[in-house]
Amino acid sequence: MKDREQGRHLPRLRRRYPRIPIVTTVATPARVLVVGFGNSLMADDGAGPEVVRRLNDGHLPAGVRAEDGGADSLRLPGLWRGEPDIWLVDAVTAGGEPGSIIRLGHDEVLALPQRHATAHALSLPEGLRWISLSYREMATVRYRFWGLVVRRLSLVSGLSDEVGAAVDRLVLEILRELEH
Amino acid sequence: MSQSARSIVIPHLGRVEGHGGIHVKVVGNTVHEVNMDIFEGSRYYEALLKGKHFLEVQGIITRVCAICSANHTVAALTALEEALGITQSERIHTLRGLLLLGATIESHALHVFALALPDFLGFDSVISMASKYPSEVAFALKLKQLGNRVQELIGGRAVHPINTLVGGFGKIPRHRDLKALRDELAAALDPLMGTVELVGSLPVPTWAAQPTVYVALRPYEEAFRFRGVTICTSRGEEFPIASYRDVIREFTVEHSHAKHSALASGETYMVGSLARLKLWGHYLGGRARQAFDRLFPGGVVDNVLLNNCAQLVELVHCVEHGVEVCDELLGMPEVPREMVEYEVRAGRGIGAIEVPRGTLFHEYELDGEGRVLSANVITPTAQNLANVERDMRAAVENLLGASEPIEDARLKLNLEMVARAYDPCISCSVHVTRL
Repeated sequence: MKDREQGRHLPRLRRRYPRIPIVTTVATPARVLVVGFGNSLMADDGAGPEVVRRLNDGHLPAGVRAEDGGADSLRLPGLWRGEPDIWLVDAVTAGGEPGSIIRLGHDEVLALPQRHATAHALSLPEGLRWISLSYREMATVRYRFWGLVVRRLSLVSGLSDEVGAAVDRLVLEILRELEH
Repeated sequence: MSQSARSIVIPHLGRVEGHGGIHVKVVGNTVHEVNMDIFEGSRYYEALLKGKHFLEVQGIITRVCAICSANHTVAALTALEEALGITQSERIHTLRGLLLLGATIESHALHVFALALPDFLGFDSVISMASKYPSEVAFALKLKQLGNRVQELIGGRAVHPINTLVGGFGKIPRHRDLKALRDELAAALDPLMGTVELVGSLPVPTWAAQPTVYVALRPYEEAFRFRGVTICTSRGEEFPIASYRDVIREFTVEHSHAKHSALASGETYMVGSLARLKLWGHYLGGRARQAFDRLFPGGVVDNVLLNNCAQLVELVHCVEHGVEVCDELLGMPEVPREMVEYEVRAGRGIGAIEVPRGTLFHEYELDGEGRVLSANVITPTAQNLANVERDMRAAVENLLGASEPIEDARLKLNLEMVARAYDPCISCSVHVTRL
């Protein structure tokens, strides 16, 4: 028992059936990296990480990964494993009522206002541009963006009702888009 | 005859939610008011930590800051371990040192290349700078990622480290990974020295220069280090770390959410790269010494705009010393994990370390069950704030006193350059996209 617990000296399992090569006509699923940005201790800013957590709790299709990007979009290259598509989820401060979901395509997200997010961080579009300038292999990545309009940004753990409900809808929306 | 009043307002300097920033009021050529307001997040975290078990502290404190999470983690662990009577093993001490180097590489690379250098080269952003300096701009982000990679290897993941624990590490990096990291660090040195040449060729304006008191920790050994044993000032004073609350007098001001700091004498002071070089630059060696000599040919002089150059010198030091630390770790036997055994007890501990923006203090008091009774965090940005306002006042007075009149737009840019030179940490604990 001790050996079993330590994972050593286990008897080799006998293969019960001969190995059969798998031939499939199903196309290889598109590889997608979903990244949620934000801080889960700052109320609705935690929407991005919460979407990621929910996606990982469910059954993501093969070839899809979901990662918590924290509060620094410039860490994206460290999370990227060659996926041709990166889908970004972030809290946004305008664009509708709290809990609204804003969906932007590749060109639209890169055209967002390039204002510094903080004194030592860049705006998301500026960060994405810098990444494509520095990592030629990422220059062809196609981005999609979902913004969840926040109700509150303060040091409170947990999402507001509106943003919590929006996270539910967005997780379903992302899963639907992954099927196509 | 009444003189015309002039207000210079920079409303959004690093404020995510938009209130605050810099406000300067000038009547004639006399500066009447200089206020800089920031959101200083760590204060709010102190309340959140009260009542939490000490093992929960890291998971919370790592979210204080997007770019300083490893620094806050090391400061918190140092304080908690002192409270619990834990002595770090040599390997733990060395690994944490490497973690701090990685965090400084990440932070300084971003600040020097993306936030400060465009000002000096006349570009409005790092992206527009790429039109003339494409290789420097590409190298900068790769250097930042190298800093991330150091933290990922030691902290266990890229965002919010989980491998750093009270008493040790859950997993010790494998030698093959350390070797790969060592080679990456070594390869970054030559291009980094190229940047030193570029920056060394740029004139640094002197309109913000004025006599300054500098504060930094005395390194724990006779070398340039980010961990120290006492608090030293450029006036020759030296204080035990345990007396930090007496040395650093915090006070509130009406115009800011963040507390300001001054020495007991009432003088404001500066912490950060320039302070470290002023006090301990003589300990630099190798390529970092060459960088120091190139950028500070006459030694450190009073001018906050030179803090950008000081950060570049520290970048060279961090990369160069990172190679040495990797070699040191590779000389130790490979082990899967290392933890010091300890018992939970009541106690109080202080962790003081040098982080990219200056000296960071964490203090925790624990009860017999290991719950946090009190927490105190003093960040470098909070310590620098009063000095930022002092330097801004001097800068405006110097600029207004110049023979040629200066437009508001130019004044604003120059004030932003002063604020940016301090590399202030402003509400970076959130990531919100503004539409």
